[in-house]
Amino acid sequence: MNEPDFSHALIWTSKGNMLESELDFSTTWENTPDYIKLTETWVERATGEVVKQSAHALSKMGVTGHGDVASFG
Amino acid sequence: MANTQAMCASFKGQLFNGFHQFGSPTIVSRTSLTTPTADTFFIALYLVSASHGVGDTIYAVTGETSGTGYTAGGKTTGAWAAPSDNGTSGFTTPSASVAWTGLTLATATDGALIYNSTQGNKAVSVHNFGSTTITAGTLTLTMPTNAAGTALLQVT
Repeated sequence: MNEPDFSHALIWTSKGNMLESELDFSTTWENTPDYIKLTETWVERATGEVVKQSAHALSKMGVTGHGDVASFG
Repeated sequence: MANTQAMCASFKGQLFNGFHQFGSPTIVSRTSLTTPTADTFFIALYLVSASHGVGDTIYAVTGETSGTGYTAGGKTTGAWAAPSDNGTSGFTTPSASVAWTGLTLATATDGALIYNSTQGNKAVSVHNFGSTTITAGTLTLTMPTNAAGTALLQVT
């Protein structure tokens, strides 16, 4: 059984379907106290143009309201 | 032994379920007074240049992001975890991630407003996920663990 030929794999971009072999893929991580975010970027090698970019953010914690009570008088 | 002044944790959790009504507001019917249906909540996205936050009272288009694959008003959060408490805090979180696919946001976006579309689009909370642009891609907002200290909405 032959291995799939990924050199001809297509990926959907702002310019339509492009050969993945024509793109440079990179990832960046942003880690803050509130969230952690992965950004995936595909750049067209010939032009340097970003043709696809996705982001996935995980909220580490939400927002908190503080309830309080007071004494009488 | 003495009594300790406090707001009861059970009350904090019950706030999310509308168990208590101190005033007499005009609300949209939840079909039944004794077994009301859950409201529908939406999450809308905002540009970095916008200034939404604690002062928000209602969903507004001012500063809302726009682009291919994004509809003004955002998307529903889906169902929320049953509100509960841990003896100290009350909390709840949407049960699933919210994702936009086939999305292009050319202008940097970093804010998300959760609002109650059933009750006149009243604002609930604002969240920041850092400056983000999307090109023919996907934006996924993954919810935190639904527990005290991490839940998306908490009253402590």
